[in-house]
Amino acid sequence: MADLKTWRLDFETLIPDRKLQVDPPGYDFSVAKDPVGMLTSSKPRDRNTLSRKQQALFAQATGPLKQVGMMCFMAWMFGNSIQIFSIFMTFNLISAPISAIMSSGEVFKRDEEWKQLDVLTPRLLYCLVHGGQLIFGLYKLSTMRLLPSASSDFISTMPVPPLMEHAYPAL
Amino acid sequence: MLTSSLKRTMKLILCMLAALAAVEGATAMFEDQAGTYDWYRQHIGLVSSASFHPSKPRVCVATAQSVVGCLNLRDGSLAWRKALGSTSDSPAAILLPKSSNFVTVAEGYLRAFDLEGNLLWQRKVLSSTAVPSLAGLAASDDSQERILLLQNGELQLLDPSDGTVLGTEQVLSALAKPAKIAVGSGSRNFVVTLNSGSREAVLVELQDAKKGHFGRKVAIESPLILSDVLSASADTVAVLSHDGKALCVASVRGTESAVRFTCTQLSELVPELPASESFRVDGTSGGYVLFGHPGAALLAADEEGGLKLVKYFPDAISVSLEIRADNDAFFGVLEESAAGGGVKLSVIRSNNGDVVQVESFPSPTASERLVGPAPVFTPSGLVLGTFVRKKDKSVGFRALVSFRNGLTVLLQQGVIVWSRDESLASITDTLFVDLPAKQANGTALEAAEGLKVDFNTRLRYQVLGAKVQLKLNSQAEAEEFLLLRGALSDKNTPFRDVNGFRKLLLALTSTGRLAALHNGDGRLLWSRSFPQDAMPTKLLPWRGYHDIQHSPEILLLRETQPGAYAAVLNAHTGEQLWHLPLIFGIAKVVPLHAPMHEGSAVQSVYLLVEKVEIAAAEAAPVLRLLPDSVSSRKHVAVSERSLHFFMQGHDPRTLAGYRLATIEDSSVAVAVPAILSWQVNFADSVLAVAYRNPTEPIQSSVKVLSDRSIKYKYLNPNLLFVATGIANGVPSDSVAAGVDSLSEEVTVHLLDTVTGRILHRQSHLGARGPVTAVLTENAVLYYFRDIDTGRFVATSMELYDATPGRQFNVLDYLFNPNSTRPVSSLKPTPVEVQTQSFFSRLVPRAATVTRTEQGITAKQLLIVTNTDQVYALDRRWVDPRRPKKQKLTQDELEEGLVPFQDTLPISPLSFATLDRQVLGIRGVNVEPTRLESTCLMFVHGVDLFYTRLAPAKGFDSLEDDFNYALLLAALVGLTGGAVILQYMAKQTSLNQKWK
Repeated sequence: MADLKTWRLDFETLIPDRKLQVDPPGYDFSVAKDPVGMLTSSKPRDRNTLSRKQQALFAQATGPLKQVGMMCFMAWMFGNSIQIFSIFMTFNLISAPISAIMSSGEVFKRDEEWKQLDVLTPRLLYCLVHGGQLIFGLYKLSTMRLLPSASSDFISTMPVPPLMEHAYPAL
Repeated sequence: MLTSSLKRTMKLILCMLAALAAVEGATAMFEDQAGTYDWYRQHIGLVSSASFHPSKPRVCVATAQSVVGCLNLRDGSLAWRKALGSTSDSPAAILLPKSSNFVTVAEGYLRAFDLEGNLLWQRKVLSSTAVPSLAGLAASDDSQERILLLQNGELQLLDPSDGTVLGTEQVLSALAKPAKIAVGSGSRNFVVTLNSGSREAVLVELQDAKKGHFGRKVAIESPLILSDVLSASADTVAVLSHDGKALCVASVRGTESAVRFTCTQLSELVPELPASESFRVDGTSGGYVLFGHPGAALLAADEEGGLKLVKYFPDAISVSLEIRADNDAFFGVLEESAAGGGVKLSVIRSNNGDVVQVESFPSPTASERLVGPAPVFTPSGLVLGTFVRKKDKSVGFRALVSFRNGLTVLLQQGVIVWSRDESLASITDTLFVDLPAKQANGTALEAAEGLKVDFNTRLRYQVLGAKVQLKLNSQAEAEEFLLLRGALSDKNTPFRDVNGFRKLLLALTSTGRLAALHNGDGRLLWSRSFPQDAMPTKLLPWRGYHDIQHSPEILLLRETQPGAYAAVLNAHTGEQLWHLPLIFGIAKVVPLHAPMHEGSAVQSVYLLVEKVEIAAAEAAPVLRLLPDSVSSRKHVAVSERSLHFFMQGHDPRTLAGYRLATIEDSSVAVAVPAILSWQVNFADSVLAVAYRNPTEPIQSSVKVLSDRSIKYKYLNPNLLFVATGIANGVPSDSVAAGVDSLSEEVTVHLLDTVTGRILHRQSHLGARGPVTAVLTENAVLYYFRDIDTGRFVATSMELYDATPGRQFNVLDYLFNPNSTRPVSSLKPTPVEVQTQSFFSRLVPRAATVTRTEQGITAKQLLIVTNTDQVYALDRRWVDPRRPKKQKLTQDELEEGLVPFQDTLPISPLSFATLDRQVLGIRGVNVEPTRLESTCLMFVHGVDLFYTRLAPAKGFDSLEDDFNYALLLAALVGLTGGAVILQYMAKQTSLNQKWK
């Protein structure tokens, strides 16, 4: 449905060949096309739309799976050596899921019209898929020995213990 | 906190930055970079004897640093030089004028060189501790030149052309000391020698010098005990009596009758001559010259051995040997000239004492600023030579004078033709101190004449640089470029820099001179001379300051009595701040680790071990504190709760450890007695000892292996490495015969010096000294000689703490400040020793290690080789964990391990001394800079060499010649391009809109 805000005419819209983009207020294209639907009860259409919307959401949630798998495979192919490409790769491997998870609220917006639509489960699934990539990224980081996971990573600056006695050479 | 992964990440970022920033990361040095960070000075040593070549422009010298060589007579430059041995003895040397052979004897070899330094022949002389006596036999009409050598009481006559022995004669039997020989200067050839302290001299006649026949052997008896000061004139022999008060002369003319010395008291002979400890007697053709520091007398000897004073020179400070010119004989007398402190050279005809020539010379001037009392020019040697004047073909005289302070000058026609300052060839101690800050007025060095460069010079430099880069330059332009680069670089300004590269290098020489050198180019900024009886023997840091207003202070110690003292000098100006005479002699100086902080000052504290009399040698040593004040006593009492020290026992095979009685917190300065706490007697003699530099910074006390397991380093600073075995130089028949070489062994011990406990011991069968060892952090590297292969073996040891069940708790470490407990030598921890041996192609003479500010940079071992070079050996080559396989795993590669090879690699690019030979290296001084990657190295011996070292390459700085202009140009270009492109994009889009 066209918004009132966009009900605006530019000079460009007056170019004769151009198709008029803006519908007049109150004009519903779907109703105009399908007058039957308008007449029948809205319930089955709602259920259909709801299930279709739900399906679409789930598809959207599992969509990155292929991409994540590809990324992980590529990262695995790069090996554990520390080079500029593997560093970029691993950085991407970690930063991409984090930003995706952070912005998952944008992707799975609660639809005010369809209150009964379940947004949370696909969103969690989406986060899970990206979380998988994050975990793989961290694993990658750990295999590259860039993750302080062993106690020896904390010990390297352990100071030399002080000594009680001093013996000086007078040779 | 810096975790290892963070460190790795940082390293990575640094690597990336370095790769981006420094496009050409230099690993080795290019030819044009030589001399940018390093400088090199060649010396020959303190001249002990010299001789002019009669016709060629060469003066050949032997020096106290066991170097022989020839100088160019025109300018004093080095023609050639050779080090004859490692001992600091002057070799005996004679220049045979006719055959131009320069014959020397040192360290068991008689060698002959020609005037260009080519070795003509060498001959082994019987090995003995006594230095053989050498004399030349001048050529006469019917005979060739000959060499006379007295060795172990046997007189040998040698042919100088090939060194063959023509004849031998046993002249002396029981030989306690090296005996001297004197050769008669007349037509009759005879040789006289004697045992010092006996009552008779032995005279041997040379019947036929050509064939080597010795003639009659006569003993000349004397009424007095004789010293070894002997000389011979044409027909007489003169020996100084043992008490130095009488001169005994015997005539050798009467061949048949028994010859006896007739002794005359010197006080009767020359009443004016003051009594002297050391008289010198030189034979002339008609008599003798008696020289008594000061004062010289020309004596005429008649045929019966009677002496008569011809002329007395009361002011003579040096006399030369007699030379022949124009069928006459002359000798030179050096006197202090009355006016202006110069010298006066008189040439005396030796048969009648006439003064032939008198010339006055100004005293040599120094280029640097002289501090303190004016240097005293005491001549140590005077050699007279002749030249032919071009004008009237008459004979003139020139003289080579060597002074005690290391200066050698050539005097000729009233001017000093050239002078060589050789005092820096005898450096005994060196110290790096900070230069003054530019802001600190008043303390700045006065000799700070900075080179003023104008804009044109800089422009010229840039143009030349571009030309050199594009290879459009001529040879002269390339030289000018190098010259300008040196002048324009800031490495020579006499102020400190942010990175701490510029330092003042203080050097104490054995001639009693303290010299301050700028480390940028080795020029002298100031120097201070000390008289002979007040020469300092130790140079130590005294007081440093954290603020820039104060100059650092240095401590000079004279250890020996009489005249022992401690003096403190301002390191920037050389001025003496205070002088404290000591009432005791010092045997050892022990610097304490913990410096005392007094305001912004950091005061070093020393323990002085008093020198004891031989009679009281068994008593425990007595120590004194320096500075001995209330605050220093308090400081020592607080910081050193339990103070121990160890020293060599009375037997060189023992080590003794002492505990110090509690230093009383009293105001009275008293000596502190030491209490013997342990003693270790080794079966063999001690070949080498090594201990860690207690001030060595250590970044981490653990080693993390690639499987992330933790190994605790054994970092006990009270660790002493001792290698024992058969003493160096002791001949072993079994080795020569190749039998039972396994019975000889070198044993190494690791001792805890607080308790004397031996922590580890290992033996190498079939090994001999000399042993060279270096101990750094938790690693020991030592070299010894393998008898079977005849090669040197480097054995590397790494020590780890092997306490069972030692656990590391991260939380405890992070949040409990008391988690690192102090350790005690009294509660020893078990040691795990990892050892690996390698063959070494280098023959080491000494070893030390690089040192950086924080100790993070990987260390390099600096090996002083027998070729007088310094080799920088990476520690990974001597890692005992080098795996014995060719294919390494990922983990091993990551740890930087190298597959094991039985021989250590030798890379020509790893010589820290580059392509230079630093003759007779005696010391390597390494000083950290403020940049973690870099340290400074000063190598001194007869030569001096200074360079900058970066053991792990310059990871924390751009190269000095990094092109900042290019970087700036690139940045400006990019910014400009961006602005222009933005404007163009705007224009294009606007144009499109108007379409």
